[in-house]
Amino acid sequence: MRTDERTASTRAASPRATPDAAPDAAPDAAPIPSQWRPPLREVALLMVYQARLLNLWLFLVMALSFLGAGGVVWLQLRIGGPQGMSQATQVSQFTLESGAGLIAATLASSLVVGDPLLEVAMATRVGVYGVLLWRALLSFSALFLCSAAFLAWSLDMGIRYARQQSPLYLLLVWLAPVLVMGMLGLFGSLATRNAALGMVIALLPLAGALFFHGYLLPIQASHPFFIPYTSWAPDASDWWTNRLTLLGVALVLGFGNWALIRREERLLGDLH
Amino acid sequence: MEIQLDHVVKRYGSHEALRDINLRIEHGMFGLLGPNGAGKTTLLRILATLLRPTSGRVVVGSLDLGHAAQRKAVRARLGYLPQELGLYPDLTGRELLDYMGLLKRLFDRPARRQQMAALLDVVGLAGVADHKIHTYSGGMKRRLGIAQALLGSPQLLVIDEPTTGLDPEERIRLRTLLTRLAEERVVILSTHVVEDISQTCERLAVLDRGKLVFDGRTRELIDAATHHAWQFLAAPGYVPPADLSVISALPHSEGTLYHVVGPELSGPLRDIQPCAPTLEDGYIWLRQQAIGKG
Repeated sequence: MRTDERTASTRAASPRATPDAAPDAAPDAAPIPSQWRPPLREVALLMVYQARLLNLWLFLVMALSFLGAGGVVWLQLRIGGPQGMSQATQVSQFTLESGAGLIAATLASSLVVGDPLLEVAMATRVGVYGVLLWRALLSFSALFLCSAAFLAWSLDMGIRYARQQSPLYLLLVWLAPVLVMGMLGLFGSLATRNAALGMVIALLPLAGALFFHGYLLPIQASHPFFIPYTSWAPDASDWWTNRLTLLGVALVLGFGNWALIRREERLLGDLH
Repeated sequence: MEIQLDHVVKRYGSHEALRDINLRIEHGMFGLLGPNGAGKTTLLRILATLLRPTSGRVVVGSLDLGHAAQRKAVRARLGYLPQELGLYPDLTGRELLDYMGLLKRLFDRPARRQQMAALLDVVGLAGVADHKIHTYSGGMKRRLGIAQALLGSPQLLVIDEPTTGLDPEERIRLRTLLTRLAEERVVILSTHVVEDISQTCERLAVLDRGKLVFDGRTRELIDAATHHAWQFLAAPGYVPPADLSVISALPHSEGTLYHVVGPELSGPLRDIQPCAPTLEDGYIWLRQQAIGKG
């Protein structure tokens, strides 16, 4: 914002009601001009507020989960004997794939549903999309940082997830379940207007894969949709197909979320 | 600024919440009255850009709410206080206003904070602005809600049931504030408390089961009950007939002193007198007529 504009806007925004004014005096101030491109420090302030409005307990649980998983990996390598490396690899794969997906679902399902000020936020210029995007950015950045630290720790311990292990491969081990479960968690919470229910809905495909892998894995058609596929077949020829399919499912769910957010009466709970 | 609603219909599935609403709202204070479930909140949410009508057209100033870009432009001029206002308990009142200011894209920090300070003063929360919201009473939260609605000096203020949970002094104070605010903008006040409308609004609309049953001056609605508002003394044991709406029933040494609204009186009643109607009488009379028409 140019200096002259700022001076003008400050002057224009000065309300006639002063701190000494009568308490019931009207705040008949001229409007403060809103800006399309915010200054960086205001963006930072908005992020601080959004971070404070997120469920910080979830972030604590997330950090402790990765810390705990890192500890288990370390312990298995130290005392696991000949099977130590294999077991540590399984734990690491599970954490980075299914664990991160589960955390993503939990975080995403509580992004906006249950927000006490949602109705007012929806009527502002930033709107519900803005609030959702800021919170998603914060939540998934935190998840990415924790996951990256855990992956670095695992790799440093000599763990390998696959024979051909490129940075893209490692990214997709994490990204596909995080996106698909995160989107499903958000979708479930928006559809039911209940964060806990959203998380449960997101958990179902993972739980199904974990409990029924004995039945599902022999069926070739189930492979593209199998969320913890790295844990079972890290070197399979259809591993990339699996990841791309999951990303495609996440994209479809993303469109579904967009459509649900556009249905304001659902968000507001006005379904008769 | 003027607001125009043309043939507005809102359906939720098979339920018709608003039926063919035609309304023009001009500068100043405008009241929206009706029983619970009449469609007031749906109408306010449409005006607050939260809901889109199933059919019909809403124009705010020159902006048509049917267009996404114009709806956004309306948001820049809008202050909204919903019926059920939840607040973040761990923020302070000042922080909440600051956050809401950012959501309203008021990025000029000195100007925003100056206005916040003025608004906190206006709503009488300056002394507790740095206290956490969970320490606020219901009335204080309501006033903080008003303050957030006023951030950015909106030209259109949409307020749903603002006096719910307020004590009499706070209600009077809030009504005075709203009246003053209406000097420079459109204030749409929805309530089922008739007194709030009678004390603040020169014009009002009455909704009943999604239909607009009255649109006009407050005085006209009061006058509609002329010759239909009565006061009489009834002996103990008297039960008013179904076509009479009892506005008040005061115990009296010789029975009960009734103030009623209805078509005509009969029976063993004493001292029957027509009384000067109030807005409440007019509203009840209108409701009787609306119910009578089905």
